[in-house]
Amino acid sequence: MANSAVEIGIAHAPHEVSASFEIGKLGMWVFLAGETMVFGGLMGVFILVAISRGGWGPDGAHVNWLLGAINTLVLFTSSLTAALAQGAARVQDSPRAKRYLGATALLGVLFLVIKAFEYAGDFRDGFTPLAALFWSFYYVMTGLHVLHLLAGIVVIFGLTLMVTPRTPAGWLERKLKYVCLYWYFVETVWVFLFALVYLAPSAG
Amino acid sequence: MEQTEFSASDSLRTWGLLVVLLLVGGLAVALGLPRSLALWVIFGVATAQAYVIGRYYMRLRSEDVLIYTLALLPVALVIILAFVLIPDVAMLR
Repeated sequence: MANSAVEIGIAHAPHEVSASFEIGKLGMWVFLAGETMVFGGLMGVFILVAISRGGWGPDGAHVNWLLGAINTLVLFTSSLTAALAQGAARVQDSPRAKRYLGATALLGVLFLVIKAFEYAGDFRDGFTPLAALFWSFYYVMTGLHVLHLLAGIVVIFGLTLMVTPRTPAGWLERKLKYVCLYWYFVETVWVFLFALVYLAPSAG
Repeated sequence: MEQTEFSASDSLRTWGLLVVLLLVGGLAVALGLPRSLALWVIFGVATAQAYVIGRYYMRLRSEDVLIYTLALLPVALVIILAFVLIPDVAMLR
């Protein structure tokens, strides 16, 4: 049990190396599997309803896909800083890891600010959740994603505050592994939301 | 099974690849490609981006079969869900 990581596995004999899994990582993947069902179910129904109606027509043509693309770029960059934080933690450079973590959280906040402007513009133009079925889906799916992103930002900010130059490198590396896994998952969800809700209705 | 080192330049290359894919998806809309072709490009790009994130950032390339099962099982279940809902789509049309 290195670095106080709790591991489970089946040991066949004392001299054999067992296939073991970190409980934290396993738990995070089980959680992400559940989240995949939630978002996957929503997206599946969105696609089927679109097919049944022969596309979203003019309802979907009002989304601002350029703002969506800018937000996608922001999320990609936040994942880059998260990966760099993991790299810094691996070489036991806690101060650099802290800076990259802070940048990740700030880019997450920037995503939310851009999204808030986008929502405000949509509301101003009369595209409220009750305006049409497309907009109901739009707000439910992007709103749920925003909540997930918000949770990630809170955790990353919290972790940033906890990191000091004396923070044990193994502890930070392990926490970053779980937090970043979640952050990359939220990014992956956004990739599909961007394709479904922004690009596809604007195509052609 | 922990993966081999993932350096800063690897992270930058992954980010660059994601940005190039983002541009390809955006161009499919901006250039006004025929709708069916644009949809193929858009969803192809999204799948490629998810693959890149999963493989390089989420480190799936070095994970055990259990993690792969956990990652892919819900995707399979969602696809099954979509299939069982197809009769409802036919009814709505």
